[in-house]
Amino acid sequence: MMRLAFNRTVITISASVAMVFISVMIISGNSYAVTGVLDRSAAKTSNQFCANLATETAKVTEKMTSLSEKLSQAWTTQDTQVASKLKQIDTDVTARREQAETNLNSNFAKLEAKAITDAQKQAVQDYETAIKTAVSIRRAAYDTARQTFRDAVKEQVALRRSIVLGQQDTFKSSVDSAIIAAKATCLDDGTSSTARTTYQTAMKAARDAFQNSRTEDNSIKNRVQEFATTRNSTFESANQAFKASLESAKLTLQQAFGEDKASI
Amino acid sequence: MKIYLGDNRQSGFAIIETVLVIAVIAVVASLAYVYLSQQKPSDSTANQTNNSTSTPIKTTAPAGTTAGITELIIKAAESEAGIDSSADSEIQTEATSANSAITNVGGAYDASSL
Repeated sequence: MMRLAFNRTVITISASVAMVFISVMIISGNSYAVTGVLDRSAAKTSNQFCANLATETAKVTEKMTSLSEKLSQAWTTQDTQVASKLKQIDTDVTARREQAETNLNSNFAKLEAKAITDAQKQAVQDYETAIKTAVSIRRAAYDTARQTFRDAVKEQVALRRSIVLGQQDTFKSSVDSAIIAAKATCLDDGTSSTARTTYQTAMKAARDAFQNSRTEDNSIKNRVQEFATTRNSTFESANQAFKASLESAKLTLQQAFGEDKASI
Repeated sequence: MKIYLGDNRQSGFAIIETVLVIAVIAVVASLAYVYLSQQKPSDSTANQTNNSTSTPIKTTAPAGTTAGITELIIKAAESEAGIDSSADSEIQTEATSANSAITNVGGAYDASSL
């Protein structure tokens, strides 16, 4: 009885582990991992190679087309998500600007209440105009820097895709060549002992060459970081000019208020 | 109360075994949900961000003074720059989001298939 209970527990745990494994495989979307397992059921002997070649190469071609389509979909999704993120930034910036505008107008109203003489009232108006102009210039500089950043990211993504498409074309050409060569060999000798190994070597070389070029895929992260650093530097330069304008406007207003400048 | 001897135990799965399987299914379902949730932008995140942007800017200098106004608009500028900076890592992640799909293209052929 103890032995029976132990076996059932082992079966239960094994089944659970298997379920987790299969689920992770499906969730990860790694089609290579899944199809790789399935494909191992194919014929492996030299004699069967030529007989199964047409079927197997059709599978490879079909799978490649499917994976290329998935890549296109991934890029479309990428575009959508980046656009969504940028739109969210614009929404947040607009909201923050509106909030700052409200706060600024409230401060201006309090400042206007402190002006007694006509000269002081005019000085406050000039001050407000100077501040609004400075804010406007600063925002325009930010907008330009922001757009430059986005254009650079977009350009970098397009460049990366172009490179990947080229690598994919090279991979496909290599695979096509391997298939054509294998078919030619099998046509000459349907029991060729070298056809299979030659084909496998060529296909593996094509895949390895493609995968080796993947080392550059993450370089875009560093490029985006560089663009962000440039944008932030532009922000900082705009801030310096902005602060200088604020200081100048403040001094002009204080001069107009003379001895009453402590109130402002 | 009944006491069962070994020979009288019935076949089938014990409660603990059933519970274990249900627990595993729950964990897998949770993982799948989290994975699928990451495929589209979260509306709730967007709302939180919008709420955070509507918070009034506080200044240490008194309102209605040049010092207060200067502090206010400098903080507004810094706050605005912060929106861009905080989104940088997400944009970096998005820029590489298709990497697995690129890598999978190379898996179109399995060396052991023939």
